[in-house]
Amino acid sequence: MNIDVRLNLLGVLGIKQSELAIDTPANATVATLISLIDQHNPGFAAALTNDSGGISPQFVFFINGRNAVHLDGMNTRLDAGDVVNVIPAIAGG
Amino acid sequence: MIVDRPESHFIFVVPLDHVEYRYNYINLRGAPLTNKQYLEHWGKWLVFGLREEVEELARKLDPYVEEKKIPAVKYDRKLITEFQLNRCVMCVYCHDETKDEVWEILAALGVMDKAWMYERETLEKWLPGGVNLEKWIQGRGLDHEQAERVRADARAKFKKMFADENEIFTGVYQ
Repeated sequence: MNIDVRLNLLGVLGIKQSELAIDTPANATVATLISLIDQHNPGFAAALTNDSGGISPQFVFFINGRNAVHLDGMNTRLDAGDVVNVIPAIAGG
Repeated sequence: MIVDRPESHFIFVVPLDHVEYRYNYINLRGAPLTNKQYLEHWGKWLVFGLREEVEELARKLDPYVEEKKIPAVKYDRKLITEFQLNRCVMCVYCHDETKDEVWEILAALGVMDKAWMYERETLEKWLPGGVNLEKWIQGRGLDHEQAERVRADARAKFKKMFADENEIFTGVYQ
């Protein structure tokens, strides 16, 4: 299934491509997505996760506009057509 | 109307009634929010763009703010270099009960990135240990004593502001 990912303001991580269309397996989660992006952008997973494997407080994942922390964190399920936005937490005003 | 006070980092779009008659735009269907309601329900859509892009969007949003379809908007005057961001951030404020209606306006004006954040989340980021405050302290190169003073001030300000959860929320000076 296809997930649209927008990586906003991630210049600090050295990621040049800001929009990705990622083909994920069925039952994919935020963790699956991070792992897939990391395959082409080594260091992505390390930067976006904390020591216990959760989403780093330095970043916010929005799934169709909703903060993944208020959904199921790394285990938040993704569906075909979902749009994921990733921003540094500092960008929230 | 667009309110551009040079001493502020932010430029605001607020109703003329707010500027001239102190209309409180932090409300739901005309009822002002208490501190508790503010922390539970008030938030914003985040929009990112170059300064010129957010300025143009602000001009387009101004009529919606005057009609009170959107309570208020604020955006960065310039990039905050301490944060190493390469985009200005615009906050389009509303109650969570009206956020879908506000999003429809934004989407019709070409906004694509959908990111909703509650104000309490932002406030927490400016408390000691919060990502924004700590990054700000780091960016300013403050020594330990100065940093502790900043943290204590932030803590005291938050406590004072929300001391009585049933008081009407009166805003944050920015």
